[in-house]
Amino acid sequence: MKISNAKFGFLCSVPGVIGLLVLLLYPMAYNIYVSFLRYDNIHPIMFNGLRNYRWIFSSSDLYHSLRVSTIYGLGSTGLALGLGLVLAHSLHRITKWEGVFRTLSILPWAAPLVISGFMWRWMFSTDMGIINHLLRRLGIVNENIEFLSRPYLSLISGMLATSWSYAPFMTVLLLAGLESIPGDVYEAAGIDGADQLQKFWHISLPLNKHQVLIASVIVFMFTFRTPDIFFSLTGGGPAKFTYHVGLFLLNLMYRYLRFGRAGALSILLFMIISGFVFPMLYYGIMKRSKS
Amino acid sequence: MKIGTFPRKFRRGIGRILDWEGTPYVAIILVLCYLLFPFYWILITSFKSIGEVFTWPPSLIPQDFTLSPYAFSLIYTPVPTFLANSVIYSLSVAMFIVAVGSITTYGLTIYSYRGSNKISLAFFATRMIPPQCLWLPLFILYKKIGLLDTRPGVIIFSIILAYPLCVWILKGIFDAFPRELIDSASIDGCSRLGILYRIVMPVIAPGIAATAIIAFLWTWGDFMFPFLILDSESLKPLTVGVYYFEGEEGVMWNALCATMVLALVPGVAFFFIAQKHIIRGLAAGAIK
Repeated sequence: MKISNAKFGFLCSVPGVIGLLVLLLYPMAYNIYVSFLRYDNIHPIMFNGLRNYRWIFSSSDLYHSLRVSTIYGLGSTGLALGLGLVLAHSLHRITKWEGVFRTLSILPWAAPLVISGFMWRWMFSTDMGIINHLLRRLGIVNENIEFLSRPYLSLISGMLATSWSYAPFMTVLLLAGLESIPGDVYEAAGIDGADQLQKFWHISLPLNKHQVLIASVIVFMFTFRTPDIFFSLTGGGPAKFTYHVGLFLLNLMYRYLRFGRAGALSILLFMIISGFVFPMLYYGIMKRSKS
Repeated sequence: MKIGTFPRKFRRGIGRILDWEGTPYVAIILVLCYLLFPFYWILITSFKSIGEVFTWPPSLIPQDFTLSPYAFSLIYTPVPTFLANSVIYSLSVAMFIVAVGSITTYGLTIYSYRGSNKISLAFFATRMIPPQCLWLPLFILYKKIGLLDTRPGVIIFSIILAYPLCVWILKGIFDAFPRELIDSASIDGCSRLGILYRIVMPVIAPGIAATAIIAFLWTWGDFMFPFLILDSESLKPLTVGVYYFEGEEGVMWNALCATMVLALVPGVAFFFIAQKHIIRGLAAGAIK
């Protein structure tokens, strides 16, 4: 009863594969189905055509929340990328206590996003916050700043909290890229008299640029779609200035129980994300595997 | 912008500063101040009395050190239940993933068949499906089959999210396993499942452990879906449970900070124990 190796591999992997596909694809298909229903938990459920989509596209909340998510995603990714570049290049160069520094610099990763939101909310607090205290001690401001209830400031505070959460991820990806650059390139440049700035600009950055692109796209995708930090940091306020598209989706389904419309928004979100993330990632990975 | 266009003296100056051996250490320490201060601050707050928490200016070191926030949250609130739930969810997901994921990956990588590469790629592609798009359909389906407000409901969702990532990480580990060992074992008459459990698993145990840790932490940090489907206090994990401290009259910050410290313990501990393996796994899962 000896079966062939290929058959054995097939038998081993098929239950896991089928199980996952059922658990993933069936809900996705069901989501598409729901997006065509009038499903508002008040009226009887019935076919609704494209009305949910029409409603979504005519809702000003959609454009507003997409704008918030995009600005927030770009800002957070930029900040995290800056931190990641500094950390990755520094960690790549040091020779002492490497392990300790690496462990310490990935610690924010240990904080669940919703916890991270609470941590920063406490630090940003107007009346009791440590950041206000430090800013006043240093003489930068004269009175306490309302970090979380001023319109644009609340969004920037969110970016700061988020870049704190994602900097470790960025660092790990960039560092993995840097370590794959052969050391003799740097040596040769050093013999030719290149300083660190030239090495960074002419070696590290060009040779690592696909990794930088991939890491940035992934972090942007995460921040664009994940509202957890705003959920605990600002709750979408003040006056929807931090109304992330994830919060919009959450409100539609959880507060207003408009399942049909929430389904349409889910599908739209999926298409937006796959529309720009897939090509970018595909491009980055293809380019990298070629070089 | 070409670097040669910078004023020469200025560029030389920056280059010389960067050339100094101590510069990376200074840079790391500066960034670490930003990355580690929040930990310090909630740890300090968790040792303050409620009176001290609400005084201005806040003190950087607790004036009268107290353990009462921990005592309060562990005795008078459901935090122990939340903790136990988080452990139950995370452990179940980690165990499931190691048990099923290793067999799946073993079949996919070692005994490749027509199309097995495509299946691996499909696993990777499913990671691009935003979890947000699963909230609604799973919520409705759960309601239909009675999984709302149950433990299996939380566990199944976390498995759906973590499974593709972990298979992808495991694939990297299995791919690196030396083929000759498998070939010689099968010539010696060892069965294929025997090879997995007696030869492959012991060698790649650190990688498997790292994968289990990643699945554990992934589930530990999951918030939105458990928040959506759970109603009973007795089923909530810690990430959902922290909302217990947000009352009508404000937040009990010292007890909340104590609870958050508890929520951070597993992640921090795992990173200190197995930093290298976890990083390798996560980096592989994120990019390859």
